[in-house]
Amino acid sequence: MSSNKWLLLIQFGILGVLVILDAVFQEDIQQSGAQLDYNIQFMRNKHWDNLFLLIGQASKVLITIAFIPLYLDHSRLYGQLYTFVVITAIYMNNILKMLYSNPRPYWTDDNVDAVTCDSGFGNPSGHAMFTAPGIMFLAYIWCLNKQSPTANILKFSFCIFMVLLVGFDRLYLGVHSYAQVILGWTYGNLILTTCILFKTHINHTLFLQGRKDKNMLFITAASIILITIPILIYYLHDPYWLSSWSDRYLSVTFT
Amino acid sequence: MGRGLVESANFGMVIGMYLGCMMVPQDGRFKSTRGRRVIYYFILLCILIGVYYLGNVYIDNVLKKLEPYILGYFIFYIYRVILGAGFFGGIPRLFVKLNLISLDNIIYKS
Repeated sequence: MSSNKWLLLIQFGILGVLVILDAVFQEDIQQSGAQLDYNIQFMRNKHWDNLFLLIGQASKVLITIAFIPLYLDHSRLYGQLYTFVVITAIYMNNILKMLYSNPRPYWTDDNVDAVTCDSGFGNPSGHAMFTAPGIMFLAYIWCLNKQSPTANILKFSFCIFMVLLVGFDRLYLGVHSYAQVILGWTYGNLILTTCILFKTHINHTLFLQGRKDKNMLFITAASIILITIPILIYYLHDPYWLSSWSDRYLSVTFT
Repeated sequence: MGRGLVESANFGMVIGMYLGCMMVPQDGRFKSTRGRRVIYYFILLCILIGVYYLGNVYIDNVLKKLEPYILGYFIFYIYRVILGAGFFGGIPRLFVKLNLISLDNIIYKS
């Protein structure tokens, strides 16, 4: 078995453990997550607020627009694959949020301040889920250039730092608990590893239109299925909902 | 409060990307001089930040209010398809027409 397949297997294992822990100790994890956010927010002041709001917005914009230099300048296939990874992570995140239906820390705990307000469910963290694979994909391409191992380690460390910074940003802003961020990273990196492992298949199916008719049929069928899944979940899955969550959200939004 | 249905229509971007890529020959590689590259990155950055903020602040917020209605989801999906097709097909073609970049036909190595 190749190292990539081992990596994928390990990630599936970690995800399995996290999902089980999340299901078994949900209450405790939510409480400890809100407590940690509260502790982190002790350092709150106007400057830190602005900095972390900027990090939150900038990470979203930069990860979204990074496909342009990749697509037009570096390699078309990597640009397309990058977009595929990031968009898949966003899509999966919204589906998982609908399925988990877990609250954000500031909905459940009055002590946690919401520096910014997000209206959707909290688990897994969207920022963590799409910035982690985005940044790690860029690290993967960056380290593909044959340079010294030290340079690669430095680049890789920088990218890991950026991923951690975005995760910390979510805790500081009070919009996610640590468990939601970790779960976001795990899902995101699982998507990334899967896409890198099957990059040849993805590129041939989606972008190298050698067998146009067959591909068109596949794409149409896949898009119909992918459109239908969120609609089915939305209408069939009845989420657990406490009125206190929306009360807290509305009180934070309008103050 | 939204539950995430409309946001999941983001996947339309991948479909848009697929359609956009069909508009540009796959065996072509974008080539340009460094000076021109700076110009088109600047133009693209302006367009993208414009689209991003317009999309996020106005269009997305309006569509999120439509979440209980399935129509909002489909409108959002089509919007993302157009966005994807524009960025991956329309804009590169426009830049080739404007002579900002050229398409060199090479045998593409994946």
